[in-house]
Amino acid sequence: MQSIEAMVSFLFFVTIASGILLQLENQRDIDDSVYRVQLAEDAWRVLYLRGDFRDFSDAKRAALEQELAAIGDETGLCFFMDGVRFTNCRDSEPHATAVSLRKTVFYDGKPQNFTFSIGR
Amino acid sequence: MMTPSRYRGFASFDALFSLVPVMLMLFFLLSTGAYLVEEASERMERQVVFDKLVSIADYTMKSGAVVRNGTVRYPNWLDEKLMDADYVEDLRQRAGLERLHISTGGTAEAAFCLYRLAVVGDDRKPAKLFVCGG
Repeated sequence: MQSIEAMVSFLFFVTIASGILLQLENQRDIDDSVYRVQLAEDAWRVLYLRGDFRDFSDAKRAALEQELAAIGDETGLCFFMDGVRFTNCRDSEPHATAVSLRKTVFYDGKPQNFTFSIGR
Repeated sequence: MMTPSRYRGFASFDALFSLVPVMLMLFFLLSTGAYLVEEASERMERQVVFDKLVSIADYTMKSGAVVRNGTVRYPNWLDEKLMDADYVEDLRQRAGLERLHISTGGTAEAAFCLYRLAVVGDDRKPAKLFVCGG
């Protein structure tokens, strides 16, 4: 009788331990949070260096979205500027926001804050 | 009704069988512990290598190989001529990596490869800086 109890306890123990191990396995990914922030800063900086924020207004939507699409094609990422809603993300696909940055740019001649997000 | 001697015998026999799962549990615990320690060590090593590559890429993008105008440096605007073999070898040695590849041309075979977004040339053409190593 005690052997059966021990066996049952053992099976219970193995089940619990395997569950804990599986959870630990899922947490093994490398922490790339700094890298993702740098990537978002890069995208913003590339747009800036290419002059996309010069005379920035709604009239530049097509040009900026074209640039975002080109960067998106290169990287597989999608970008979204909150407020002005400039994006290369397709509405039909779900996107998980990887990182968001708060940026200030002159929009229609006035400084405005925008949230610049990248997602996959 | 069991005699005392037969009862003692049964108890010992049962305890003997109970020892098997106890031993199995001990074995399982020890091997699990060893596995977790090994995994943690490997994970830490991988994280260290990845962090070094992230730092190398960031240094290259912000100072190491950017376009310069006197003392002014332009982050994310790469001067590909500055990323020569000496520059890469110097960074590899400083970081203590076995292999390091830095280029805007593409990836190389390595444990890790990451990329950063930049512009190159006078026309500021978008490009990707690849940093691979291990």
